[in-house]
Amino acid sequence: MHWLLRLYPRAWRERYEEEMLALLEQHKITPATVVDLLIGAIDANLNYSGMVEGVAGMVNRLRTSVVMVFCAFMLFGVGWSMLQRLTDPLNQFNAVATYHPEFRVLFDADFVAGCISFLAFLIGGLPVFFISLRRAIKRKQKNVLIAFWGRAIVFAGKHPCYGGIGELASCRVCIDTH
Amino acid sequence: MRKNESGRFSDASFLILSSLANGAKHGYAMMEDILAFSGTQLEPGTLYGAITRLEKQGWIEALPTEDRRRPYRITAEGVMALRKQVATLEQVASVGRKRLASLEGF
Repeated sequence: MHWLLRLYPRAWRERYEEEMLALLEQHKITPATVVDLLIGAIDANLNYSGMVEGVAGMVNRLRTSVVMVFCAFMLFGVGWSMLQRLTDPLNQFNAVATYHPEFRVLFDADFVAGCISFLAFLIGGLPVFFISLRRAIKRKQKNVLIAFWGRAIVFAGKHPCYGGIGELASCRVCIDTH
Repeated sequence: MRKNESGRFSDASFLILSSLANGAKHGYAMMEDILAFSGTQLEPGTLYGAITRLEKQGWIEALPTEDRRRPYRITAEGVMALRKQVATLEQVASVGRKRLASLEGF
């Protein structure tokens, strides 16, 4: 059960871990106990650590959350990009969509949802990006700047409009604008 | 007295306060006592979630650790909170009894 208690925040463990372990040694462990401890860990992470660790702890937690959201969006982006290949080759997709218009509706809905989430990500993320970039330039943090430019080059390389590995047909924005 | 912020732990909090009303107890003793007087088997995650909140609210306080186990006791604020909860429950029970009595003809 010790591994389950590792899911609790550090501040909580410092205060309650030893007595909880003593209790678990006496308690009959069932699947309900494991589920209960998992829910307890989520609750403790949401409600306990911030209050005890103070502002510095909350800032760290906020930073971790931002990174997690960023990673989650990247994963979403991978799935979304793959779905955009559904139209490839376009004539076959059009033929299928003629008989089953729900495919086109679903594809368009997915495309719109992806665009909205990307916009939301930009609105939320650009201020953070610019603050980080400005700080990196001010402090001359070359490693951070290289990471930023590296991402930009990779993005440009993957995008079909910049001669990347994709085909023009895969980018709906490009189809509409070219 | 502070507003009850126990959320989903409100029932567990009430049981813990009731258990501590007749003396200080550590976690496992509380679980056993609660099972005996209410038939409710509290799991450790729920128990410590409620203990955390009750401690934060100042309704219970920890005593020095004894052999890895830390006893808790109810505070004066906790006694007031328990009294209020008991009064509310008694009022609800009283209304329930009266309404059930009116149903006896059916």
